[in-house]
Amino acid sequence: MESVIRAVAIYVALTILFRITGRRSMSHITTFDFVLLLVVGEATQQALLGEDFSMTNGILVITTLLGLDVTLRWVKARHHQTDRMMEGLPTILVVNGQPLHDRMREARISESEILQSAREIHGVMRLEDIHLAVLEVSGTISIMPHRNA
Amino acid sequence: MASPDLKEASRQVGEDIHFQRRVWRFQRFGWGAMAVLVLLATLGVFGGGPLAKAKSSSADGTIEVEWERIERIGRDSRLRIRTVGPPTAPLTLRLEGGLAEVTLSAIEPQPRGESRAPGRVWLRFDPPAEGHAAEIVLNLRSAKPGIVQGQLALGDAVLPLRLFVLP
Repeated sequence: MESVIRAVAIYVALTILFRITGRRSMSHITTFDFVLLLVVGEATQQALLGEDFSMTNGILVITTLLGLDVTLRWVKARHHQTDRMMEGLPTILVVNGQPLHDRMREARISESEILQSAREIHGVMRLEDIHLAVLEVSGTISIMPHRNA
Repeated sequence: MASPDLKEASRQVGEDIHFQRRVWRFQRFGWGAMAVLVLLATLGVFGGGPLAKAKSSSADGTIEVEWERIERIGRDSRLRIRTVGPPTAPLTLRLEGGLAEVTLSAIEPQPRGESRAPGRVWLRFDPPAEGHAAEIVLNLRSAKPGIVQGQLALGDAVLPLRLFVLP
C-alpha cells in the first residue's frame, strides 16, 4: 500500500515538475543536464523506496510506475486534449529565414541553437537558408531548409 | 499579424500558438511556485529551519522545552528539555499520547531506567552534578505522517506538545 502511494506521488510530482521546466530541458542535453538527471534519480530513489530495500518493494514500485506510464499513454492515445496538455504541440520558430523572436524568447531557444541543429542535420550555416525551424514535442528542433539551400 | 507563409506552415505542422502561449504562462507560474517552494523550505516550513523551531515553558515555569514542530518521516528531530535551576524532584520524564508512539533514536544522557505502558513511556535519569540545571535531549523519529499530539512531563511540570510530521 505504502509503496504504491509513494510511487504514485513521485510519478505525479515528477510529471508536473518536468512539465513546468519544459521541453527545453530535454533538447541539446549537456554534461551538466546529464549529471542533474542522475542526481534527480538518486533523490527520487530514496523517496520511492524509503527504508525498505526489499526485492518485493522494488518490484512493487517498478510495477506501479510502469503501470502508471502505460495508463497515461493509453489515456493520451484516446483523449487528444490530455495529449496536448501533457506533451504540448510543435512550435514554429523560423519561417522563410525570419526568426520569430517572441516565440523563441518564450520557448527559451536562441538563434545559435537553431543554427546548431541546422548545421548538424542539413549542413545549413545561415538562418536565411532555413525555410522552417520547428521546436518539436520531444524538445528537438526540426529544420527544413529552402529547396535551393 | 501572422504572414500567410506562417499561417500555412502552422496549419501543416499542427501548431496552436494560443494553446502554446497558455502552456508557457503555466510554466512561468510554475517557476514562481518552485521559487516559493524553495524559499519556504529555506525558512523551515518543511522542517529543519527557523520556522520549524518551537519553544515553550511549563505552566509552573520549572522546565523549558525546545523542539521542531515540523518534521519529516525518516529524519531525526531534536527535543531538548531543560530544568530552570537545579532539579528538585527525581528526574523522571514521562511521554504520553502520540509522543509515546514516536521512536526515540537517541537519548542523552542515557536513561538509568525505562518502562512502558500503553500510550505512556517513563525515562529515569541520574541528576546532574549538584547546583546545575538538568538537560535531556531526545532525537525523535516518526514512522507515520500526520499530527502527533501528546504531552511531556518532568516531575510535576507538564507540557503539551504537537508535531506535524510530513511524508
